[in-house]
Amino acid sequence: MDVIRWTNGLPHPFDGFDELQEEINKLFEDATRIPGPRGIFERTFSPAVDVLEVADSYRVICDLPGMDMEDIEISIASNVLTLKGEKKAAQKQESDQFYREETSGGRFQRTLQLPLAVDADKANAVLKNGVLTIQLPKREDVRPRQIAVKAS
Amino acid sequence: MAEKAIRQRTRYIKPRYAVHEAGNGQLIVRVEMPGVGKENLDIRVENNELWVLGRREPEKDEHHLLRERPQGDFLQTFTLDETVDQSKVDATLEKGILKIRLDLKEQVKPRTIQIKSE
Repeated sequence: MDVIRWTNGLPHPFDGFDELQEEINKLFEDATRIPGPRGIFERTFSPAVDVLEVADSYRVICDLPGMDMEDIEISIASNVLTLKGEKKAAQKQESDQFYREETSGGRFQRTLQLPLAVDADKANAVLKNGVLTIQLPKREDVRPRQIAVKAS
Repeated sequence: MAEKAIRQRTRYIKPRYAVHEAGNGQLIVRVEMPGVGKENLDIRVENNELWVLGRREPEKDEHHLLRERPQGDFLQTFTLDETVDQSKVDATLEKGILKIRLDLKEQVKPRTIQIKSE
């Protein structure tokens, strides 16, 4: 069940290079980004995270396909956000014959340091279509304030 | 769609996937497509190929402090051979994982042959 590129008529001489590049990238990603399950954190994979600064808050977006909210643990301490969880592997039967498996489960942990302290009480998290979005408002006392200068 | 994708030479993200043959004679393909909703999914079978295209809303150019998630649409193709019944394709999308069930034709399902004693 291999993937073969389908081309219409004559193949373009550079067809397949993009794909090859992608495969190589994937290989390196796997080799470098997944630390082995050792040390103080037991983790088997490292999900990709985006951090955005939106007005008075930070938005953290994380790809977590196949996970439920109860599998994910979010903790905030001052300006450090920790995402932890376990992805359950799909149930396998003995009679199943695998051709390819890239979607296995395991534990993960990511710790992110944000530039400013956030208000943990006002944070909210939504999990939709396998994407976790956390909205973290900056703490009132650390937000830069504009001071109006009055002309004397 | 196939031609268009190749002609446009758009860069697509290759999603992670798993393919397995279940004991009941079904071929199950699971494709991880985080961020793709049901309405943005395009699955088709043509020319012995199974095409899976998942579109994602392009992100607004906001101020990113960290950007690791790949941007763009997911595309993956699978070549189907004659053992797959292409008229029966069933797909479900749950929690960002697309599950496609394909039926294998009767004659390729494992059969047990009874040996009769004479």
